[in-house]
Order: sequence, then structure tokens, then C-alpha cells
Amino acid sequence: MKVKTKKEEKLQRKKVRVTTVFSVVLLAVALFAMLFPSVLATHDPLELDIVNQLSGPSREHILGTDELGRDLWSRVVYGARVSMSVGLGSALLALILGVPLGLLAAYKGGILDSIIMRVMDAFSSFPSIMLAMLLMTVFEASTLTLILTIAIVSFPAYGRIVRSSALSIKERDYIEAARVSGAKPGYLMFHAILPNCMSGIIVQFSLFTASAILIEASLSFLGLGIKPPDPAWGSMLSYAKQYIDRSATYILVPTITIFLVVLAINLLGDELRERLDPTRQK
Amino acid sequence: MAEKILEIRDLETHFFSSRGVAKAVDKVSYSLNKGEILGIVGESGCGKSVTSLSILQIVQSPPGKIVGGEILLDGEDLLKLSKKEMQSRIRGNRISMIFQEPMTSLNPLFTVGQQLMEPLMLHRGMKKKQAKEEAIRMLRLVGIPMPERRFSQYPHSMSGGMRQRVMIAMALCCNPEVLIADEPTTALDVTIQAQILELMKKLRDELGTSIILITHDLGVVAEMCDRAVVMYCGSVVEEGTVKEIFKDPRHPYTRGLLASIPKLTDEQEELYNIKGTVPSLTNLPDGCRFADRCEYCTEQCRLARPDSSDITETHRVRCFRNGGAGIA
Amino acid sequence: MINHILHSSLLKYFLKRLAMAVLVLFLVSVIVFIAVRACPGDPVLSKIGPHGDASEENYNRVAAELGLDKPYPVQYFIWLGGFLRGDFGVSLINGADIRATILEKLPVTLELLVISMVFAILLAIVFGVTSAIYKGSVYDQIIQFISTGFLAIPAFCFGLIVILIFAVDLKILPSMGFVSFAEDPAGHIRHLIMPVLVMGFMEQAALTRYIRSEMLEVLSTNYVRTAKAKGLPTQAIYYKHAFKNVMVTVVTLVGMRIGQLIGGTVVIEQVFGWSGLGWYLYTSVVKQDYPAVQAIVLLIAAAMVILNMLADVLYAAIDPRIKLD
Repeated sequence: MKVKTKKEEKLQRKKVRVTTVFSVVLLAVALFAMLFPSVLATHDPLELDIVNQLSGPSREHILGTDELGRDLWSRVVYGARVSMSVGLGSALLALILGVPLGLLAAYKGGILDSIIMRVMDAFSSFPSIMLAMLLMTVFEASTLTLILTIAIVSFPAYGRIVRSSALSIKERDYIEAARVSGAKPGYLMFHAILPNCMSGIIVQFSLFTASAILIEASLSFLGLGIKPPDPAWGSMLSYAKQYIDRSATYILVPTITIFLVVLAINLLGDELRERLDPTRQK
Repeated sequence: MAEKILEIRDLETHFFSSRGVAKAVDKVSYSLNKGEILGIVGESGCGKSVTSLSILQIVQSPPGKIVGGEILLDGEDLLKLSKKEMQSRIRGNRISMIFQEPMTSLNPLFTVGQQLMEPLMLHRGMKKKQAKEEAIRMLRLVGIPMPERRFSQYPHSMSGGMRQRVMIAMALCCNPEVLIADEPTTALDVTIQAQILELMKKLRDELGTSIILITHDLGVVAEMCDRAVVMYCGSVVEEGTVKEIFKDPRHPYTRGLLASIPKLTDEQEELYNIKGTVPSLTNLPDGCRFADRCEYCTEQCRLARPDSSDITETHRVRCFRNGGAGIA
Repeated sequence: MINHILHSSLLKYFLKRLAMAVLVLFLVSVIVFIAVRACPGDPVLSKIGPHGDASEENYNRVAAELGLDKPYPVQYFIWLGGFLRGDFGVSLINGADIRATILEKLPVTLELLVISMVFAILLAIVFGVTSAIYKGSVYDQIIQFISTGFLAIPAFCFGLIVILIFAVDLKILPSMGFVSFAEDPAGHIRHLIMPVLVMGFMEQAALTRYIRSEMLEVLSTNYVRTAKAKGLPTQAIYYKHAFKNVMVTVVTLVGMRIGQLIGGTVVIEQVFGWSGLGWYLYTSVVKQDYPAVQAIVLLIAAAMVILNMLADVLYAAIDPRIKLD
């Protein structure tokens, strides 16, 4: 029987898509902007230059300026700090909140399961933006509170996903075997059941980061997020709206930024989903 | 002299994927005589199902594709027909098929009656009232009690055996010349199995339908079939009357299959099974495909594939060792 | 089907879901109550006003007047009782009856919601079903690409872009505002076009993906294989057999998505200057009109819970396979 050469096998597995390369590169830039904005920015994001207000792309301001003459490119770069940290932070926090609850609900079952599920149902009965708005009126707006708010909005979905994976895994024989030989519930939940839910969790993490960025943008557009003059993509757009007939660039710059970043995350998430769960139909 | 109703010549159906080309059906030829029950035997993946899907041209495409051969129904080559002609004249009309999983083969959102009336109204041009009467008559014919009630029921309120009867009714309602039954009883209880097979035999006698019965169970072949075809790895390795296959199996694979049947009277302690595994369809060897697993394998067997040779008028085999000398 | 509905197990399922819904509603009201109570600002002081008498005596009097001197659980039940009777309180800002304001704003939002959802469903059915049928084709890839694109921007961004193109550049549609149908039917429709387009296309992206994958799954089932083997024409297979099985799931899907859509109206009404319920909520939040916020949020969340429950039960009624225990 002819066996495929090692080289042929390697080539077949490493089919890298253009979209993946794009996503990784873009996200690397975004993360870099989050951590070292001063390196990428050309101006101080708060620096005024009223003479040049609402100008289009020029040699001095590569993406133009806003109504106070502040450089749009620099503001977008600094805005990444808020969006990326809120995006990643809230997805992480939601994971920390939701995963244990889901595992607990699946493992213990019975009344505890019902209660946990009803609590999660209650939180997810609110439209996301609405719940986020409600919570942001309670808290004073800051990156931390944004993270907390969006985490509260997103955690039920994590819980549900983990719970349904865990339920199907719970019934399998090797779990039963481990339990019969005296494994503690904590061990069973985290070492035996959880690893099998990981692929779902990882994919969901990427999706949540994306939706968190979208929610944060909407919140700051509504004025409930980071307060000006600190730059945030959403709040830039709420000002841009007022000058919509004077500067198209002002609208397009933050919009395209949000679009590219979220798109990159979603494409990566899709790619992950395909790789981690090859049985799925595309 | 038996009259052929369906003849397959050098049929080739390949599956194209990123891993290569799988030759699921590789120049398969056999024929079905009028009024007979022909058994197609072989293990999973040998191409027996794909061959029958090819007859009706309902192979999943992509990734599958019929790339060559002829399929003659009463002399007419089906592969030359247009899609529309296949759909309106052949499928469900002159050739019908029933499948292995009766539990999932009926649409859960339509009643049994609605699904039964479809081919009647479509192929036999019946009006609703007439189709309903005929449908109920068919249900009674396949042995379903209280057919008027069952007519308005949904599939989920029926057992597997009953659903398979409905499938048979649906397949035979337009009086097809050929019925292809792909492992119709594998998913059913043994007692129900017997009933369904009995039913099929009875209908063949009453309606004169020729049947292709695909199975991996030699016991079923012995009981039901007049002739049988043994397939391995996408090719026919032996073809003959049931008597010939069972009493004088010529291909080592056929012999292996027969030897694998556990017998109550045997004193052996271990169950016989054919050593080795089926080669991958994307990576077939140059020589005989059974070479690695064959007890009688020679050098010649590894170098080239044997052609089909006749032993009697009805018995053919594809093996170098049987080209003349035969095996003791 | 009627027989099926009258069958007792469906009724039991309905009652079970109803009980669950009541529990969830209770939890929702508690969440709203706590959240609003946790908001900054002292409503008593607001009532007294910056120039009022801030003495302890007056403070306690006003507090008692507003019912804020009682312990929290009591306050909760008083509030809940009032809400269930239809008494939503009065606005802190202008003393207007909140229920009346809600009823006034509701039709605007409902119109936007319903028309957008219908538009989105129609688009999604067309795109989802056809892209599944022509899976792998250029058409399919384009549809998928468009859906992915729409899922990557917030609704308000798309709204702004649409305004930029149609109102600012092309000048064929009015950028903002709302005109009632009674006053000016043509104008009403002109103002309706962009918001519906925006919400419709945004929503369609999510629905299309879902419908496409459902359709693909249905097309690979055994019963579709049987339909093919029976010689049914392709149109009948796709649009009679497959489609019905897909549509059954769309019912629950719509139930799930309505929530997101409602959230969308908050932002869209802000972008297009429509004074509906979403806009009312937003301004109440900004102005810290807590009684109004409380009432609107609870109302919407309660509507969501009930809608979800109804969608579940409806799905169970339509699909004869669902196990009702």
C-alpha cells in the first residue's frame, strides 16, 4: 500500500487562509495600539488644532481631523485602549462567571440547576443594550465598570453553552468510572468535564470579544461609556453625527476601524470553530 | 433463458475530496433478471449502496459523480436521460428504492397519507380522492391494520417496522419494474425482519417486481435471493446463483464471508474472521485489492487486477486463481 | 393538528413553561428594582429641589410622601403591585404619567419593530434558502460575505453610513425625524425607509446564517433523500418538504431575536430622531428619571419573557415530534 510522504501530509494540514492572515495581522496591530499607543499615534489625541477642523486626509493628519482639529488617526489609536481592553476583559470576566455556574448546574442538576438556569434566563431576558444601559446608570463610567457591565450582560450565554456540553459529557462512561472510584466533584467538574467543553468555550470567547466591542461602541455612542475628551470609537461617532454633512471622513474613520477589528475577530472565531470541530457543516 | 430487466455495465462512480479521489464504484457490472430477487453482498464501504444510488442518480453530488458506464433499464441507457426524465419517468415510477433507516426516512411534518399520495398524484396522475383510496389500499396490501386511521397519522406515531411497511407501500404504489431495497431490515428487530422480508417476497410474487436486495447478512441472501453478487472494494468479485455461491464459492473473499458465519454446530472455539483490513478507496493497490488479506495470494495477484472470468453460464469470478485451475 | 393541541401533554407543557416564566419574571423585577435603587442620586433631594427646604423634618416628610421611608422589601411589593395594576408612577422630571407616555410612544416603536422584522425575515428566507441550495457557488459566497460584514458593525454605524449616502450625498431621503401617517402618508413612508432598511439588513445577517445552516441540515436528511428517490421534482423537494421543516425552527428563532431587535430600536431611534419607546428610555436614563427607567425596562423584559415562552409553546404545537415532558 502506498503511504503518503511526510511532506505531502504536512502541506495538506497547513492550509492557511488569506482571511486568517489578515485577522491575525490586524489584531496584532490593535493589541499593539492598546498597549503602546504612543508608538503608533502621530499626534497627541487631545491636542487641538481648530484652524484645521473637520479636514480630510492630509499629509499632516493622515486620516483627517475632528471638529476640534484633533487628529483622527491618533484618536482612533488611543481609542483602541478602551475597546480592546473592554472587549477582552469582559469576555474573560463573563467566562469566569459563566463557566463555573454552567458546570455546577449541569453537574448537580435538580433544583440547583433550575435556579441557576432561571437566574441566567432572567439576565438574558433583557435586550443586551438595555441591560447595559441600566447598569451603566448605576455605575460611574470607567473602563472597569464597562467590563463589569458587559460581563454581566454576556455571562448567561457562556453558562448555557457550558451546561449543555457538560450535560452530554456527564453521561459518558469514563465520568461514571471516575466518580465511582471516588473522585471529588470539584475534580470531576474541572479536570474531567471541563476540558471537553473547551472548544465551545474558546470559540464563544472570540465571539464575545467581538460583541463586547460592539456593545461598548453603542454605549459610548449613547454617551454612557467613556466620557470625552478621552477618545473612544463610539463617542467619536456621536460627535461625527452632528457634522455629518460637513465631513464624511469623520464618520468613516471610526466606523471602518470598528468594522475591521470586529471582522478580524469574527473571522478568527470562525476559523477556530472549523479547526476545533471538524464535524461541523459549513 | 432469463430476461434482463436491468443491466449495469462498467459503472464508475467516484467521490472527489481534498484527500483524493475515492473510487467507490470501479467498473461494476451485473444484471437483474425479470422477476428475480438479486442479493448484493459485501461489507460496509464496498460500494453496494453507492451503486444503487447511482442507478437512480441520487448520489450526493458534490462530492460524488458518475464518471462512466451504462445503466440499461429494459434496453434504455438511464445515464443518457435528462434530469427531468429521470425524475418524472424513472424515480418512484419505474425504479423505486427503500432505505435502511425507516425511523428517519419519512418527513416528520407530513402525514403518512400525504407522503403516500405524492407519487400517486405525480406519476399516475391521480386526483386527490382517488389517490387517497389507492393509498389506503396500498397500506392494507403491506399489512398495516386499520389503514384508514394510519393514513392521517404522522410518522412518529408508528414503530420502525410499520414505517418500513409504509416505505414499501410508497415504493410500490406506482408498480415499478425494479425495487432496490438497501438493507431494509438491518435496523429492525429480528422478528420484524422476518415479517418484512416475507412481505417483500409476497409482493414480488403478486406484482412481479424485480428486486435488488442489498445486505451484509448472508442468511438473508440464502433465504430470499435467487442470485447474488459479492462486492469488495468497489468491484464485483463473484456473481452466481445462490446455490452456486453457497455450495461452490470461488473467490477467497466469498469463502471468507461464508466461513465467518458463526455456526451452532461448530466445535471451533474462535470465530473465524478474515485477517487484515479493507484498503482505503483513495489509495488502492495496483494489483488485486484482496491481495493483502488473501490466503492464496501469489506474485501475479499483486501486479495486476484480474478480469472477470466465467465458471458456468451463471457463475463468474474475478480471481487469477480461478482463471482455469481453480482452488482446491 | 387541533387534536394535537387539545392533547393534554401540550397543555401540561404550556403550564410548565408558564410556571418557569413566572419565576423568571419575578427575578427580572428584582433585578430591575435593585439596579434602580442602586443608582446614584437621592430622589428625595431631587424632589425637594435645590432651593427647597432641606431640613430633616421636611426630608422625612417628603421621603414618606414618596414611600421611600419603608424597608426595601415593602417598597418592592408596593412598586410591583402598582405595576401589575398598570400604575407605573409619574416622571421625576415633569410629573407626567409614565403609563400615558409609554402608550403614546409605543406605536412608533412597534411600527418600526414589526416592519423591520418582517422585512428581515423575508430577506433572510430568500438569502438563506437559496444560498443553501446553491451551496459553494459564487452567489453563496457573496451572501455569506455580506452577512459576515453586517455582523461586524454596530447598528448605529450602518445607520450613519446610510444617512451619509442617501440623505447627505444623494439627498433623496430625509435624514432624520418622524412624521405621523395621519398627517402625511408619503412623508411618513419616506422617513420610514432608512430606519427599516438599517434594522432590517442588520437583523437579516443573523437570521440568514441560521436559516442557511438549518436548510443545509434538512437537505442532508434521510427524508429528503426519500423524496428524491420518489421522483419528486426539485422544486417540490426544496420548497415543500425542506422549507416546511426549516420554517418550524424560524418561529423560535424570531422569538429569540426579538430581544436584540428591541435593543436595536433604542439606538436606531436615537440615530434617526424617532421619539418612540427606545428614545424615551434613553432620555429617561440620561435625565435620571428613575421611575420611568424602571417601568420601561421591566415592561420590555417582561414582554421578552412572555414572548419567549409563547415561541417555545408554539414550536411544540407545530412540531409533532417534540417530547412534551
